[in-house]
Amino acid sequence: MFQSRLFARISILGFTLALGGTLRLALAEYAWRWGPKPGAEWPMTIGNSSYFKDWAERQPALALGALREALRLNPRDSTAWMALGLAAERNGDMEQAADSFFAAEQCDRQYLPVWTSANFFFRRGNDLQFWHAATRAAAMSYDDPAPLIELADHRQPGAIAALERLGESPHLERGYLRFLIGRSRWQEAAEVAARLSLHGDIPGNDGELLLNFTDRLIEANQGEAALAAWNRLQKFPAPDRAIRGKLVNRNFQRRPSGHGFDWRVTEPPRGWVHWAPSRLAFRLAEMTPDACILLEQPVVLDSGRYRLRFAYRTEGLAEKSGLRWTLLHDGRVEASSGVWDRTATKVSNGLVAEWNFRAAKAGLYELAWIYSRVPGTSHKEGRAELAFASLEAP
Amino acid sequence: MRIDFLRSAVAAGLALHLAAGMGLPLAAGQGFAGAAAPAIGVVVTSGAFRLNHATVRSNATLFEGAMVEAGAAPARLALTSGAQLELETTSAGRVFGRHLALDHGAVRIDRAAGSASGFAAGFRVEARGLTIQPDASGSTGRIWLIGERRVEVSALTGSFRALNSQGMLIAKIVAGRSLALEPQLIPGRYRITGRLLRREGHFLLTDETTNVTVEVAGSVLSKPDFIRLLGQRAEFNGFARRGATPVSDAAQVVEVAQVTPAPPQGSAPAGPDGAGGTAPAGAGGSAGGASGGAGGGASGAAVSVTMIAIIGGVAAAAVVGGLAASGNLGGSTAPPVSR
Repeated sequence: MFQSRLFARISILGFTLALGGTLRLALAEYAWRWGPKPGAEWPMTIGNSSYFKDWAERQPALALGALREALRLNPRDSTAWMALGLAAERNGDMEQAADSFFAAEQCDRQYLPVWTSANFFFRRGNDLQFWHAATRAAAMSYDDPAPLIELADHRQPGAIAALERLGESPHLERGYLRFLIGRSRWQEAAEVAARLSLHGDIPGNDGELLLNFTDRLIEANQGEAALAAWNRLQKFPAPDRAIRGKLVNRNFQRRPSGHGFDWRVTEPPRGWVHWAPSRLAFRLAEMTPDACILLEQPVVLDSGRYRLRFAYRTEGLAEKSGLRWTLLHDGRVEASSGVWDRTATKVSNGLVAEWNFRAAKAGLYELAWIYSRVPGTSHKEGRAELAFASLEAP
Repeated sequence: MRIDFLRSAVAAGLALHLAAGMGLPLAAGQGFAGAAAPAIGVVVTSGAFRLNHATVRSNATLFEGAMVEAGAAPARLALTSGAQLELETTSAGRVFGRHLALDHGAVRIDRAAGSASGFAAGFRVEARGLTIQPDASGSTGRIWLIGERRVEVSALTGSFRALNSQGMLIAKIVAGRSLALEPQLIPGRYRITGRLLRREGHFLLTDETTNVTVEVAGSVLSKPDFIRLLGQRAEFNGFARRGATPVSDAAQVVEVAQVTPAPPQGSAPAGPDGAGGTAPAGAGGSAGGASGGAGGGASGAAVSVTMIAIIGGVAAAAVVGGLAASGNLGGSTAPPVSR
């Protein structure tokens, strides 16, 4: 009887103590998070290291002491070590900073401590330690590597050399490619793209990235680099190689992709466009504006004469259809065909015509099929179809 | 002899190598080595932030022109110049060695070092065509973008100067005061209120809202009843006189088009545009504002806005009520009144 009472009392006492302890912790947590900021120090007596880390953030002037206390309570807290290192660096104590970052890496062998060390040694101008940390960080990086790449790029001239030091991987290569594209560093980007096309997932996301890169090169008037980039994508949706002075997808066997050196198709305002293998048809409405581009393709040309042969058919349009070819360079019209109806040769399913033109200098051009109403004629609703278009140097 | 020389050379080389290896500060800038390193500072946060549109956790090195977007936690920026800033939560700005172009949100200047040789050398914040410069390295304060056009500047310690897009001084904000600034459509316009003084044949006036002294000029001054306004409180409307050099202490020469005697401070008659005097928070004219917190002064503080001025084409309204003085700048939600 006595023993059971004693046991009950001890149990109640133990329960009360546990409850009191829990309440104290809960109150401390509440006071720390939501209590008034002045006088919020008492929860720190609980001995929770995270309170000291918070305190260091709230009171940067007292950060060093607070972080040391946090680390006394939990020496395996890598975030506290990193915070201590950053605070020491801010105070000019580089030895303490380096020791703290090293300790952080010992506690946590993941990305963040190594990234922090890489940044520290970068700022210190310590090449050896920087590359040591950056290489390890690169191996662990699973997120966007752009910030790490920016550090490496500042430290090592030349993207390929920097990549080699960081440790090559498709992840880094695609990160570096995006980084270089963002800075319009086309030549280096082309070198990195060449590597990515060897290691990357060309049927997947990397193919799309490289295709977008080709478009950016074309926009930037980097014809040769764009040709090379496009031709590296042969596994991915472009079975046509791009060659100087030749058109890609010339018989419209594939649906024009609108990327790289393939055709870009523009639906005429208030009309439509329809593709079928070996046939690209446009519907022009009465409301179609006086001038609009229907189809265009970038092409790299040497200086000299060229002949464009194409098969087409019109239906319902005015006799002078207003359809013509134009060669553009740097956004300016270099040459423009006449309305070719009179020179066309009739074939079984339409007309075949030629347009001879001259490229004044070597470079990237845009060959465009445009509608431009002939003065004195009125708009008529109708269709225009192209069956092929090929370019050759006579 | 030759061996001694070699020994010395090797020792010096080793010392340099060790110093570099240990990361000892070799350069003059505090905490940063690096003639070759183009770093301008470091950004630290307790959570994640975006640096040049890439997500980064904890900390990163800053380069000239870096775009920093704070996340759920504020981002603290320590620059090699000695400036220390806190980009508040969900705020963003582009950081340069000597200035921050605040894109949205708010920034707190905790230390504006480099100002010892004059305010022009200090760190500055650019926002919406305005430049905010601390007057001294010890100046601390907060710059907050509100709505589409407004910039609020609160000085916690020290003082700040605000310049318009032409570099013209438009406000001095002293410790404990807040000023809402809003660039207007008409550049160079002035509507200022203060007591008219004459010094060495020049008429000077210090605007009560912006604390800026200007020299007033124009044909209005030759009218006989103008002289009666000396020492009196009056409202002056006019435009900046381009190319004119003001007397010392004055920031600008203002060509006055209209002068209106103003009632003594404390009374609250409406000005010609329905503005002026002292108005309670949220009650003022065209306040609008993005915060939308009409009357919602933080922590129940009696916040009011008063004294609307237009100076150098920028409307300025003092936001008073002790928020800045109390240091509780983070919660200031009072909509300032301006026109």
